[in-house]
Amino acid sequence: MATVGIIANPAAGKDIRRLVSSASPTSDMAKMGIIRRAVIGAAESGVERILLANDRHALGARAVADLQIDAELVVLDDIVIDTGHDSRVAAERCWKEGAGAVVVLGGDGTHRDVAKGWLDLPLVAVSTGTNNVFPRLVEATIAGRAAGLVATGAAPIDQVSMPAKVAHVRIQDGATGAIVDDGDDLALVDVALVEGRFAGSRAVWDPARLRDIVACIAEPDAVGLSSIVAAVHLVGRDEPGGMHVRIGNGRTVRAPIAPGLFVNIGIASAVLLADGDEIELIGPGMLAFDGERDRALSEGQRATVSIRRDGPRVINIAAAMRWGRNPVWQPFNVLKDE
Amino acid sequence: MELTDDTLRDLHRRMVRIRLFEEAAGRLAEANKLPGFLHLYVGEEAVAAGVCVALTDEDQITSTHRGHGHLVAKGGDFNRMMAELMAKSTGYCKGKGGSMHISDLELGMLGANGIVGAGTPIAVGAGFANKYRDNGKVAAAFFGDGATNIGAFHEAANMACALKLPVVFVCENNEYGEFTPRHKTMAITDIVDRAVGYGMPSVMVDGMDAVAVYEAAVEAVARARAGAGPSLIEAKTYRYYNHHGVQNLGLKYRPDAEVERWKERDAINGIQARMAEAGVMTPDQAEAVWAEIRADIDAAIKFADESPTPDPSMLLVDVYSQNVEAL
Amino acid sequence: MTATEVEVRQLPYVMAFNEAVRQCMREDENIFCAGEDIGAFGGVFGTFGGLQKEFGERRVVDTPISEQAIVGLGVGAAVMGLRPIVDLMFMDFMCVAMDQIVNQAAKLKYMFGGTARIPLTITCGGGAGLSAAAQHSQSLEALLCHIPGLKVVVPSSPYDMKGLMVSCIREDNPTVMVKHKRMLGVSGPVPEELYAIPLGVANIVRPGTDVTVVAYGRMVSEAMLAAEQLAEEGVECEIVDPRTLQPLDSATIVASARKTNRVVVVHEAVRFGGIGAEIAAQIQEEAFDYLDAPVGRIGAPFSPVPFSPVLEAIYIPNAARIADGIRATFGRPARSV
Repeated sequence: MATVGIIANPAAGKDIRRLVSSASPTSDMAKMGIIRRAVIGAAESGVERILLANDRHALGARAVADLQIDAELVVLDDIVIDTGHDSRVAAERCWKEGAGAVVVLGGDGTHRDVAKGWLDLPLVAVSTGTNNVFPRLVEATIAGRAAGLVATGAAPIDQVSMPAKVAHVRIQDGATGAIVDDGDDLALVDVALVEGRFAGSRAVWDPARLRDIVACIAEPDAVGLSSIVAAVHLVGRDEPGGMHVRIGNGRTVRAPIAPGLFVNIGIASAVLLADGDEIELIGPGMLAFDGERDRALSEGQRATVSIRRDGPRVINIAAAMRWGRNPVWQPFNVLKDE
Repeated sequence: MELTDDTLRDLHRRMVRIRLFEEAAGRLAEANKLPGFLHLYVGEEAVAAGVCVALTDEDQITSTHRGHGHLVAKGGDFNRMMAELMAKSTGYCKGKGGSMHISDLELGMLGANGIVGAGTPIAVGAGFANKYRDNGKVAAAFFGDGATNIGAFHEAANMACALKLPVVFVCENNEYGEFTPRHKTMAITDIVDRAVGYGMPSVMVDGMDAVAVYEAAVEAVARARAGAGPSLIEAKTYRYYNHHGVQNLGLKYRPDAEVERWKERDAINGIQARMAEAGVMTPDQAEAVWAEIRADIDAAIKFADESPTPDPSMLLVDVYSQNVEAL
Repeated sequence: MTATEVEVRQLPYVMAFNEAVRQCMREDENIFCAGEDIGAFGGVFGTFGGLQKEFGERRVVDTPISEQAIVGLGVGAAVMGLRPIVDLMFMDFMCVAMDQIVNQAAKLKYMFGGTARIPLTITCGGGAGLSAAAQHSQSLEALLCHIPGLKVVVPSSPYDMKGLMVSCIREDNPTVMVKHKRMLGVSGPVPEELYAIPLGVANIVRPGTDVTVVAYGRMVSEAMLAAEQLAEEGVECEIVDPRTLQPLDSATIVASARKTNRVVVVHEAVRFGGIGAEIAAQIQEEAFDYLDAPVGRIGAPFSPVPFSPVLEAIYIPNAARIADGIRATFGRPARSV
């Protein structure tokens, strides 16, 4: 049964960057509108079943409350705890339910959580977060439509998607070398080592606390920590490898590390990475994934970061939409002026 | 912003002080030693502590009917608090206010308040006074998710923004208005969604993480102090005990599993574990803090127990200033 | 007319209020005003006219139409040591702010064990007579007098307005100053210098021997007209204006009752449950043996204030009805139509 999953993060677009930078808030009302339009778009593509992830705000259920539509709407019944874990569980569930494509609403953090649940899911990424590097600002109607075309098989996934790069993180104890954590931590855009001991409000906005950034995407139009890397050297999402910059005395670059927040920052060194290269970040400090402080590295603990292209199969919306042309529609003869 | 060891210890200490005071109050209530209502703050400690550590002693707060935690976090004196809960003349309110009106104006704690939402306009007034005097002080209003359904909150939020006052609105979203879950009383989930309507920035933080609350409060307070106007912090939190008292009154208005899930994320356990990992405070040192505060609580209970009840002659005192008595 | 009276300047009631605020603000930096339309516009009845021009937007603050937050602003600022004057425009709008007035302003001092001081003045326009109908014409003072912690002030002349308003501003307790809307343009002698009339001290507006008429606000002038009629009938009325209803100068009222042996209480508010009932009760407690007749009460009938000028004229007590009420205490028949 052609199935599309929809996962929305209710917490996206509400964090401290509303105070420390000029980021805009994203309300639940806005998110519900996006979900509803994605559902309508997916149904328009002939999807038979649409899975709506459960979240504590019941965004999915409320978004489709009075919607009359041919596809079967299923609100997933997973228990939610209102953390990133919910997105992860929802992605696993979409995999179990055989979703042919998943529309994810959120920022970089939401997409990372989803990838933790289903690493290479066929994904339409819709930005509702703050620093939007991995997901793009797209109209949900078309995002849902594109996901539907992939799920029904109208658009062949291999031809309209490309696996994303993932920065995988393995953590080892300093003294013994014992592996503390392997494979669970990852980032879709960047891994940073930041001074401090607490995740706190998670976002990173103080450049003075940055130590290292490893980015697998460093594009010129980025906002967030990867913009610092991009100011040194560009690494596109379709290109292999990544970049490691060490913050410190050296050439100063200027970059927007949060919406509306440009900072000067010194680059001590910068190294290009090939796929599979390993970079060690050594504690103490906080590891930040895609700009969110997440876990502490104690003194001497090592985080080994390596970039591999084994992540979500990101659906190119325009490419998918080319497969969705109405079959009775005949191309016009486009006349050119002689 | 540097999160120093002292700041961490301060956050921890204020939370433990709240927890132990409230648990002691709960035990006293169960032993029928406290007259009246008792609304316990246990579970929400990270919010009061996180915000009050970000404030100076000179800044003001307004509070709610669940106000002990706010006064403890602002530096309240256990003896006078416990005496007030026991309705003794040595209490903060000389035994005439009780749990719901506990206050210490010298600490800038402008009162717990028995009327839901009523503290918010008062915080706006305190913020107005700060701006009027250009004294650089900030007023923070604590209120619950339920208070955002009340007109006073909306009037206060709008006025604070219209007059650009140094006010920080702190919503303790504990998911229940008394016994009714939030989703039955509002069509939104996040209180931050309301802030846009008043033209103020808002931030949603984990109210079970004192460091997260503190970081947000530091930014909101700095913004207010700098003259940039109000902000709203929504802290997602949970009360472990009932709306009032300790027992569930046999009412099953929330699932046990839900309560347990929140307790797993206990703010004090969380910060103690992280402080131990970060080498800021060993478990032994943490236990010493608990022991010291337990001793303070015991002393406070003794002080309150031994204090006299109000003299009947005090009945008509302080109805008016200058002791002008009503007929 | 004596020489001193000639020298006293004539000033309308509204300007007596304005001058009290202005002169107090000049001498005390802690005083500020806040309310709807009071700044640039000068207040809906011109009561705050020109104050923002003199004292600036910092001290004369235009607020949103948010009665709870206006009073709350005053409570919070007062507890922090300022001396706010907050305006609610119409007394009826007080109902919107009742929590802040009744549960906050009036209670903070007592329930905080005396530590709080609330030097707050709430001003509003009360009374009927402008065809303003049921939501802009009420006399709700009895509601306020029932609340321990509040003081309630109802001036009946420009002179009293200025002196009482000065006392309200200087008072360390929350006061409600009721400006009668139909008196705003009434002129009377008002000294230019700052003076205060203490709260809780009644004024014997007209001494008399035969009957005591207790009246306040605009009803004082109606009672004076009634007294002139009664004088022609050989009855000398003593008119007592309590000036403040909370605290109430019961001693003066009772002393007058003991002297004249007859009492009529007059107010524009609804008779049922009005302050007249309290005054009558106190008189029977304190002067029962002196009374030659039951205490009469004149008030509005038990209905909302009507819009129609014809109905409103019937609704509001006037000199003729007061005179009839006085005659009744002598067992004399009514004369009004």
